[in-house]
Amino acid sequence: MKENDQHILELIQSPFTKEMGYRKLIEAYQKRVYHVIRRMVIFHEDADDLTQNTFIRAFRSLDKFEGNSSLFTWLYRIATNEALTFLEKKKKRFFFSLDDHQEKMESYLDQPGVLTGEEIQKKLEKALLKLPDKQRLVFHLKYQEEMSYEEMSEVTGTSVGALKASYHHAVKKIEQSLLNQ
Amino acid sequence: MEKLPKLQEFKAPEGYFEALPDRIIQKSKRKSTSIFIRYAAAASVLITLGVWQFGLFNPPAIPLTLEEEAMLHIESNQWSSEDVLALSENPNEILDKIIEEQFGPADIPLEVEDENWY
Repeated sequence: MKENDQHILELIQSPFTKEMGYRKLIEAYQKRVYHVIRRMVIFHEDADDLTQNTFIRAFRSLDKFEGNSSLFTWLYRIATNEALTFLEKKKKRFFFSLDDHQEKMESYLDQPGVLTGEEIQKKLEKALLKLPDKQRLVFHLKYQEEMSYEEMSEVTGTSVGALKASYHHAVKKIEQSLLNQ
Repeated sequence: MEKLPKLQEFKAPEGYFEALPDRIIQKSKRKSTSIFIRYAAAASVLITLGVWQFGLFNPPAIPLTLEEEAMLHIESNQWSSEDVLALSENPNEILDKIIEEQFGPADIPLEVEDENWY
């Protein structure tokens, strides 16, 4: 475990420094947690809610953290679960069909100021939105976060073989989608 | 894919990360308090119903069970569905169960991941 993680956990374990520990945990990982969630849910307001929930859930279950993985991998696991659960519930609870939800996210990408990169960035983002949520998550963890398959396996609770296959399929679908655009 | 650039991060609003730690800590405290209030409310309702059941307040001619008593509150619109959910210990589980009954089971938990979900 990283030295900084160890220090944060020690602060949280003491009732006198618990809040300081929570604050340090948030400050250390808030940007990465927010960005991985934002990539999945696209809208800032949703990402904001889920980022807060991720940390609150982490505070409540820190006693279950065994230190076998890094604090960040553990937080990522909570964050990605939150994002996937949110997307699934949103589709069902608000009677959004998959297409409707994708349309909303795609049209959000077209709004000025959301993406400032080249046209290819926008095309890639839109191609990604056509992937199933879990496959999109695998693609982000590998392509964007440059995680190893072993780390991804810890985060997603999925075997390395399944992750490799999933990433391979995601890349093929994105390439095909970009060619068709 | 090798030729493609890395995706740019989405922009967060100005000052968002500076304010976020305070917001999370405040929300965390509020949630702890609301859980306590929910338990206290549930306990007080049960005590009130219990006292009523044992006839301290003008007992009805035909004693009702707790379930019947609750149904009367619901049917007379004294309790809304939100009130009933708020009284339960696990409203989210109940909502999820209703959704599952209507739409079939969800395959969310990553812990029971299917090997071939791609």
